[in-house]
Amino acid sequence: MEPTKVVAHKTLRVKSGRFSLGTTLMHVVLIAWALTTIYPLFWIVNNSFKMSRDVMNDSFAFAWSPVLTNYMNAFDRMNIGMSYVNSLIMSFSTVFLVLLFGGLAAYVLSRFQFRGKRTIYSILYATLLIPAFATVVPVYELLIHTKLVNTYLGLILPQTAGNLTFATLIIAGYMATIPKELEEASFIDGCNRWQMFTKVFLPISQPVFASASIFVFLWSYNDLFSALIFVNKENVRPIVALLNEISSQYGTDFGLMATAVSLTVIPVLLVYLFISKYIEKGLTEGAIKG
Amino acid sequence: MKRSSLLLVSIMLLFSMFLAACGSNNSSTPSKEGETSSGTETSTEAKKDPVNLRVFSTFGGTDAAREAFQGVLDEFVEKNPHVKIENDTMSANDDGFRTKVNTDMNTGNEPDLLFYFIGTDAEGFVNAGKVVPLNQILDDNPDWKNGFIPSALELARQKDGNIYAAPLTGFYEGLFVNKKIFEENGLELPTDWEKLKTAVTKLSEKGIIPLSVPFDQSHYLIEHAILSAAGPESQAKGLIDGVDPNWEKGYAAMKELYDLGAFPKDAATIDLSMAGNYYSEGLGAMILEGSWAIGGWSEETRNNSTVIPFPAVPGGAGSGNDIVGGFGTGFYLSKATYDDAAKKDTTIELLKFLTSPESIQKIATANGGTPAADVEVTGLAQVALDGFAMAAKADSISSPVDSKVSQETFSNLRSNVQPVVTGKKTPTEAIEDAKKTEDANKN
Amino acid sequence: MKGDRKYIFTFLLPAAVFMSVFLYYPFFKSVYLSFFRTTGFFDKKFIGWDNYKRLFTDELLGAATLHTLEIMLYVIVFQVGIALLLAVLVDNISKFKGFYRTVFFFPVVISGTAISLLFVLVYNYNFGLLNNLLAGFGIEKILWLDESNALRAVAIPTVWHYVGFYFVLFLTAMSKIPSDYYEAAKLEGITGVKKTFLLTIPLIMSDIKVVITLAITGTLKVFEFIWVITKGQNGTEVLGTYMYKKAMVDQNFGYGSAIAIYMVVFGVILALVANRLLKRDEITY
Repeated sequence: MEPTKVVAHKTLRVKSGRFSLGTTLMHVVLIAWALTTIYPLFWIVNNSFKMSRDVMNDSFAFAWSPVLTNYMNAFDRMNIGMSYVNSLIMSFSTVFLVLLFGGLAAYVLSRFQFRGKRTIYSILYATLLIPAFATVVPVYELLIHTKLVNTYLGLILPQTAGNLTFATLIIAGYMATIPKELEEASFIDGCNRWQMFTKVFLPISQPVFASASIFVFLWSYNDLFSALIFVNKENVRPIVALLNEISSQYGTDFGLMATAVSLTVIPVLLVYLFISKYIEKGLTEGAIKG
Repeated sequence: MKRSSLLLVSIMLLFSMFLAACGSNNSSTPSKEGETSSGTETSTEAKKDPVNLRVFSTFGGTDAAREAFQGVLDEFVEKNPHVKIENDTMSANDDGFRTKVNTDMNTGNEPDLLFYFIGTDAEGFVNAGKVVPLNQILDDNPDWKNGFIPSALELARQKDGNIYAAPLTGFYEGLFVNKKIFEENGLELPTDWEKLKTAVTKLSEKGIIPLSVPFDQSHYLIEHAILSAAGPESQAKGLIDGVDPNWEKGYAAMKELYDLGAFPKDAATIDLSMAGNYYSEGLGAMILEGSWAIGGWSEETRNNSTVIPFPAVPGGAGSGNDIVGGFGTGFYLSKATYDDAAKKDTTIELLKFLTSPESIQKIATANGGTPAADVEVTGLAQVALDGFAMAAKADSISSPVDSKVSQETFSNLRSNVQPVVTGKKTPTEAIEDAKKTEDANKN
Repeated sequence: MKGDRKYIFTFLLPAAVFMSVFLYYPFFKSVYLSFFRTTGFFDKKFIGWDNYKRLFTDELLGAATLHTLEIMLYVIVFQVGIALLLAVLVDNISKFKGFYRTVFFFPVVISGTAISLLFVLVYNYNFGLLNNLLAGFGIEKILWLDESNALRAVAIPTVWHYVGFYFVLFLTAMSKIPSDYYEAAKLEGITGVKKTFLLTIPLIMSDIKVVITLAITGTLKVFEFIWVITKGQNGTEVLGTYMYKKAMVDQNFGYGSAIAIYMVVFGVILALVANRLLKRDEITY
C-alpha cells in the first residue's frame, strides 16, 4: 500500500497544469462540449413544466409560469414510488448477474489460451447484432410457459442474457492488458484460478466493472419494449413504463413525456454519480501497486 | 483493502435485492394457484368464490376514455365484490401491442376479455379458434342484444359471418375544414373537386398549408383518395382479384393536389401528430383525420372546424358522399375462459355490463366516438355533431382500405405516396407494385 | 496452467446457458421462420430460400445498407473520435474532472426518443429552432430534412447521443495505465500530444478495438432517431428501421427474420474486417 505516492503524484500534476495555456484551451473545448450535453437535460426538465401544446410550439422558451399538471398526471397514473422500487430491484439484479457471469467469462477469454477462442469472439460479435425484435416473441412464449410473466425474474433473466455480451467484451478488453507478473505471482502464492479471479482480477478491474455496471443498469432500466411485454402488471412494472402512458391513438402528450423522462432520468444519474467514483484513476493505481 | 470492502458491500446490497426479488416472486404465485384451483369447482359455488379476471384493452395512456373505462370496471366490481379485475392496458399505436396480444393468444396466456381490432387484424386468432363467436350468447340474452344498434353489430362481423367482438364505440373519418380560414380567404367549403382545387391554389399562394398530411403516415390520405376514386365496392374488393384502374386515379389525384401545393413543405418527414399540430395551430386549413382527433385540437380550431366527406375524384367511381368509418374495435371473449366453468358466467356478465347502453354512453361521451347503442351523447363540440350528421347522411360507410389488403401491401401503398406525387413513379407503377406485394402475401 | 480446462468450462458455462436460452434459441427460431412466408402470427407457409432471394433483389434493402454504412462512417470518425479526444483531454487536466465526467454522460441517460423529439423541434420547417434563428436574420426558411440533407441531419443526434458512452469506456481504459509509465515518459521529455500518441493510445489499443466493434454493431441497430425524426423518408431508411417495418409493422416475420440474419452476418463480417485492420500484438504492461 502506497497511498502517499498517489497523493504526491496528484499534486505534481496540479502544479504543472496550473498556468499553462494548453490547459486553458483544453477547458474551453471541454466546456463547449459540456454545454451541448447540459442543454438537452435542461430542455427536458424545462418542458416538463409546460403543457403539451407549448412543448410542441415553443419548446425552447423558458417555462416562466411552470405548471405542475404533468407531474400530478404522472403520479396519478402510476404508483411512482413502487415503480422505482421495481425498477431498482430488477435493474440491480440484472447488473449483479451480468457482472458475475460476464466477469467470469471475460476472465477466461482474456487470460486463457485455448482452441476455439476466436470462434467464441466471432459468436459474441454476432450476438451483439441480434435485434431485440427478432427474439421478443420466442422469449415471451418461454416466459409464459415457465410462468415468469409479470414476475421480477421475467425481466431479469432475459435482460441478463441480453447484456452479457457487451459486458463480457469490454471486461475482457480491459483484463487482456493486466500484467502477467501479477498472475504469476499469485500462482506462486498458491492461488487457484477462482482465487486468482477474486483476489487479483476483480479488484484490479474495478473501473471496468464499474463502467459496465453503469451501462447495464442504464439499458436494463430504460428498456421499455421488454418491460411492456414481459412485466406490465401494476405491482411489478418498472418506472420506464410511465413512458407508455404518454401516447395513444389520440396523440402524444409531450409535456407528460418530458415529465416521464425527467422522472426516469433521476435514479440513473444518481447511480452514475455513485458508481463513477470507481472509475477514478487514483483508486486503481493503488490497487495495481498494492 | 478499503475499496474491495466497499465493492463487497455493494455486491451484498445487490444480492439482497435479488433475494428480495425472488421473495416477492414466490408470494405472488399462491394467488395464481388459487385462481386455477377455483376453476375446478362447480359453477354453483363459484359465485361466492373470488374470481380474478384480466381485461386487456387500449384504454390506457392518453386515451380519452381511460378514466371512463376504469370507472365502468369499478362499478362492476362494486356490484360484484367477489370479482377482481386486472385492467391491463397498452397503447394501440405501440407496435408491441399487436405482438403481445397475438403471442398471448398463441401461447395460452389469453386475457379473459380482449378489446381489440375487428377485421383482418383479428383473423389470426379468430380462425385459430382462440375466441368464441358471440352470436349464440347474443341470442340467449335479448336484452343485451337489443341494446346495440343493429348496424353496429353488422359492422362487427368477421369474414366468416360470425360476430366475435361486442362493439363499444365507432368512428368516422373525413375532411376536417377550418371554416374560419376558409371564410377569411373568401373560399367555399370544398364539397367538390373543383372547389377543393380552387381552395388549395388560393391557400397555397397565401402561405397557408392547404391540407396538412404526412407522406409516411399517409393512412387517411390513401384511405380517402382510394375510396373517392374507386368507390366503395371496388375499395372493398381490395387488390387480390385484380386491379381496378380507378385505384390509380386516387394516386393521380394526390399528385394533382401536390402539384397545386396542397401539402406541407415538410410532408415527407413529419408524422401524424405534427400534421395534426399544424392544423390545430391554424397553420393548416384542412386535415384528413378520424373522429378521435377532435379532442386533441386547440379549442379555437375545434370550434372553427367542420367535417365533410372527401370530394369525389373526377372520372372515378365514388359518389362524393362515401365515408370511411365503422366499428373498428370490440370486446372478444376468449375460448379458454368460456370453457372455464368458474369464470364463464362472471365474464359474460362483465362483457354484458361493459357493452350495456349505459357503459357505451359513458365511453362515447369521453371519446367522442359513435356509440354502438341508441343513446344520446351530450356535451360534444359542434364539429363532432357535424360528424355524426355526416355519417348519418352518407351514401356508404366503408371500413378503411388497410383492412381490405394485407399490412405489407398497405405499407407499400404508403411508401409509394411520395414517389408518385413527386413524379418518380407513375400511379400505375405504384398500384402494380402494391398488387405484387398483395399477391406475394396471399400465396 | 494445470486443470485450466475445468475452469474454462465452468467459468463460461453460466454465460453460455443464459445466452443460449434467451438469445440463441429465440434467434434460431427466427432463422427457422425465415424459411416461411408469414402473415401475422397464425399463418405460415414453407417457401424455402425465397426470403433470402428477395434480400438480393430488394432495392430498399440495398439503399438501407448504404445509408447504414454512411452513418457508420460518421459514427466511427466523429463519435469515437470525439469521445477519444474528450477522454484524452479530461485525462490530462486536474480540475473539474468529476464535473466533465458527469455532464458528458447526460445525453446517454436521456432516452433516444426524447432526444429525437428535441431534434424534431430543432429541424422543423415551420417553427423549428433553426428556422426561427434564420428568420431572426431575415433569411428564408430552409428545409433541413430534404433529400440532400436528411441523412446527415439525423446522423448529428445519432453521433452526439452516445459520445458520452465511448468517453466513459475510454476513460476507464486509461485508468489502468500505471502512473509510473507517465512519470518515466516525463523524465524523458515525452509530454502533451506526443505522450498521447506514443503512450496512451497504444496502451489502450485493445479497448479501442472493442469500442470500434461496439460502434459498428451499434450502428447496425440504429433505429430511434431515424424512426422519430424522418420515419425513414428522404433517403434515411437504415437497416434497423427497415427490419422493424417489415417485422413489426407489416407483421411479415419471415422476411423480417431474413433481414435480421442479413444484419448479423453483415455485421460480423464488418467487425472481423475491422479487427483484422486494427490487428496488433496484444500488449500487457
